[in-house]
Amino acid sequence: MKRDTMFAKLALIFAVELIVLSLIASRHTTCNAAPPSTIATTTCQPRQLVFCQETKSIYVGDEASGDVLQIAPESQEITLRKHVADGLRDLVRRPNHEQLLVADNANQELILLNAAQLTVETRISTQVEPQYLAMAPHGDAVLVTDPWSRTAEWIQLDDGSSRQSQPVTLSFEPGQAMAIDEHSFLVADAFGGNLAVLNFSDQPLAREFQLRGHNIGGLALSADNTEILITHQILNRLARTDFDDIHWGNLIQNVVSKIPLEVFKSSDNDLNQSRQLLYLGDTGQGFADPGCLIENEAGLIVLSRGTDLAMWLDPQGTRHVVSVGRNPQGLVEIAENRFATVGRFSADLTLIEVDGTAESPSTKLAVRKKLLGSPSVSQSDLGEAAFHDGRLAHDGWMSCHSCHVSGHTAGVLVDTLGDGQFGNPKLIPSLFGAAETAPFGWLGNKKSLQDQLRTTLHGTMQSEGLQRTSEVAAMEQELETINQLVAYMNTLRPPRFHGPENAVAEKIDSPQTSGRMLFERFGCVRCHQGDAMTSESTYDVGLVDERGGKEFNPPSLRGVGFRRKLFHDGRAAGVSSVINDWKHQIPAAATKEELAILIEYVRHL
Amino acid sequence: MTVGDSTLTGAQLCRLSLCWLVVLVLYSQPAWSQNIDAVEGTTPASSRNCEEDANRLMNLFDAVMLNHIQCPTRQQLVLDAIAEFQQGKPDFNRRSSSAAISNSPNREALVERLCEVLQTCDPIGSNPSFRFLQKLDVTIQQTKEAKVSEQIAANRYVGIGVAISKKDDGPAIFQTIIPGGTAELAGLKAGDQLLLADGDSMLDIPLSEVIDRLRGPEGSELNITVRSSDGKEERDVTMVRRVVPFKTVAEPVISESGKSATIALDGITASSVHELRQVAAKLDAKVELIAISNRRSGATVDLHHALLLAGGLLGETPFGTITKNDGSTDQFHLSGEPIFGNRIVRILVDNSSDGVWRWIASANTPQPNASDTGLSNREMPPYYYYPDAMRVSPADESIAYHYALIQIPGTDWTARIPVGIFCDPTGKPVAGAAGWNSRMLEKSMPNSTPTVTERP
Repeated sequence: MKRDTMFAKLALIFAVELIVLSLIASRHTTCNAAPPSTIATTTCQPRQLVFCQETKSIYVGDEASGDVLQIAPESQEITLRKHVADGLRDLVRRPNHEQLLVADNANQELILLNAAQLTVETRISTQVEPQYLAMAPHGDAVLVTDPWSRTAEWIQLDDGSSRQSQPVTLSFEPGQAMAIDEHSFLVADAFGGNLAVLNFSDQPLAREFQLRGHNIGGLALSADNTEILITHQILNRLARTDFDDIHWGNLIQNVVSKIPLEVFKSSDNDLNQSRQLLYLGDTGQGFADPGCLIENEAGLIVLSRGTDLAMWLDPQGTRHVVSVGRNPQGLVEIAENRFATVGRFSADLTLIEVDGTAESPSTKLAVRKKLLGSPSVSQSDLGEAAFHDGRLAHDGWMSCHSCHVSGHTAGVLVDTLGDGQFGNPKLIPSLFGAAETAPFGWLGNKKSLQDQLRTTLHGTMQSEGLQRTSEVAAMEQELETINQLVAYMNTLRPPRFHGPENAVAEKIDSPQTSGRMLFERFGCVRCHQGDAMTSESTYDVGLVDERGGKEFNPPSLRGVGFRRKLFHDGRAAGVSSVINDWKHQIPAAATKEELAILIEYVRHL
Repeated sequence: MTVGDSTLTGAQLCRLSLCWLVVLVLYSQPAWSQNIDAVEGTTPASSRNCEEDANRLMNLFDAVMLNHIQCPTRQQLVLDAIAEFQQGKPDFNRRSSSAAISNSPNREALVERLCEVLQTCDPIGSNPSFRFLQKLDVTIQQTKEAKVSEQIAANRYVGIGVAISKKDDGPAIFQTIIPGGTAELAGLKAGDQLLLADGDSMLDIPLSEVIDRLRGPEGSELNITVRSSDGKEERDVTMVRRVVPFKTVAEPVISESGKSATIALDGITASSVHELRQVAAKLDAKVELIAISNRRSGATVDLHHALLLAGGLLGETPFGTITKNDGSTDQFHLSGEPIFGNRIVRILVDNSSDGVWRWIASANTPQPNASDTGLSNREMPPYYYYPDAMRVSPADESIAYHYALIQIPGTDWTARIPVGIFCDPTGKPVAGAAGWNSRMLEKSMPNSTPTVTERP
């Protein structure tokens, strides 16, 4: 007995020592361990990744700290780290210039950095709030996109004195972009499946296309430069969120669309007719939220942001899959068949090496991971990680992010049991501000966000780990995950409205005051009450779904101006359509001018 | 010899991608038409309480009346039931029975009438077959079998993956070991004899009980003792019941020119689209035309799975309708990514194709003829193409019906009932396969049929 106690004590001491040692070790691998010239930080959320041929270094943008990290590819050691931007949103390489370009959303500027020293060389103000950058092939111009103003801005980088800038307004929220030639960029929808080709050779010219799909995660040129490769998801509104349809990939598919470059030359062309689909998911391994991809002569490598996997497709079509960091972002080729990616929620850098060739039957993937810092452990950040975790769904086919892209909406219909039955697909709602709009669900029958999330995990996503066990530990884990998701959802707020104003908004003296008066006079406040601009009951407003359902809980109007489709089935194209086309609860006597004022008021809520 | 399956009935096997030979061996009697109405050790009719049976029948009739596309009156059903039960009995008079039924003031009175008749008959078994319902194309299945059918429709059948047969006094024999099932992985061979299951002898019990003992929930363990077919070896085998994967899409047959591929489905299940995608991914770029057929006609297809498959074959397009017994129409618009991309898809039907497959074919938009694709007629498979040959003409007696499986309250029966008429995108009924047709219903009705207004 004494001997057992002694062993127990020794084991305890050993365990404590291990914890101390690991704490010391972790301090050395956190962002605090960076050289003295950098700003110390405790957490790291790497999201941008660049490889610079000139300096032979990897560069990582850390959104948590606003730092840029310079990393030696072989050792994966951080060689330099500097705080660059408070609102670091994107990081790209400027070819032929040994420079990096950073998007600073907080200060609405671009920052040109010397790649070797990470010193600021130039700051360039932008008209838009920069979120995504795409560099022209020779580094003489950059395209900046800002989803919420639906604007893309082309900025010339040479000759600061006469720098040109050309903003283009799009019909959708532009997200990531890529150059397809010296003057043209392909811009992808930040949420849905729209695409645009912007040409800046003369007057800015935009050609828009609609890709059947949503949640575009990556853009790339094919190895032979004849096709555009796009990773995205496809939801089938005929399919149900039941086990069978998720299991067999009937509900959601994770794909690469291969579209001939030629097709983008005319907006009359139908991308969907011309594309070839490569299905990434399979039973047992859904490959949620496909992200960055690279195709070269030896094959195609593509990331799954939801299931933290990298898939290598060799020329024979054989798939090789390997685990990478959590929610992998960015993918660069650092040498022949050697790639790197960063794990956003694991704060690490993963090197992927394709071992073997296409001809070799022993082809496999080798990975080396290295921590870049400490992943955040705040409740809301853990919730954000869970929100992007495809493993919460059956076989990893989807994450919360798959439908509520970045907390907003993919803008497509899905047939869930949220309205009590299958057969009447509903528009995926935006989650911006949704946490404060209890009760939840189309029928308003979920009193708390926890209840709603439990229903979503078990019913809509067929979550197995959380569903099929009654063990106390598993139930506690579920509760913890749900509380983390709630914490994250509490951080999702509608963006500040800075969209293009129209003539009406300029004419009226005080749209907020006069619009509010109309809002009250027309009786809109009966359903859209209080700060959240919703109410607890369900109402029949004359809209009927496929199953005869006509009483729905009113959605919050906060941020409604950022939703492209409205009503339960997305039949209205924005606020203007709701009021002008559908006359939603509008008195017949309302004048055109009154409607215009009301529209402006509602758009800005 | 009784033929059955430890975990699958013959009809269920029909829906799987087993070759017809295996199916024929095992499928001597389709479950939908099995006559298993007599139960061993029956209680003498006079001492038995027949009210329960009468109520079960009335619940069944209620479901038929509520859902059947050409629903008869309740009195009609009761009359036909009594006529069938009393068949051959000298004191039965259809005319007087009809009058008595018509005069029954309510449901309770009809139950009473049925009760009187049932007291003179054998008890109703768990898997009955009624001729008067067959005329309405209504069949009855035990609910537990219907659950298995649901698993098969989802291609997620749970079991050990065997088919067995059994002589009354002999051991159950494994006839088929399904590839990929846990029985195959455990090394069981066709011809092995089943002696014990979880320690209990399987020799002196009926096949249905053997089946029940071998079935179980996913993940549960089963311990059996088997004897080799030559009788020389006995061994214990432990298996875990798992989903048994079935391949329901055959490998494509490529034409001589390489320009067309013929693909045969073995039924429509939840996995059809998934499996077809896998086939499509392997097709050579030279293949321009896909001709697709369904080899498993007659099985009840989940409408939802049919719509998903139609969406995968035809893409985003207006689809056909289903007319229901209240005169209302369900309209469908397909959704889904075309599995074969821009290739021409031809849906093939022949005389044995079932209604749902014809329904899908009827929405196959007019496309170029074979000659337009550069294919010779010789390369085209010998099938019809909807709509050229399969329209319903006034002379046609068959119409394609949509069947639904409906659980009958208070019973362990699941009824398969025709609940709608498949119509093409123009609203015209789709022609059904030869067999039951709507006129048979009229022919079966005697002049003394109670009228709708007399329905209690």
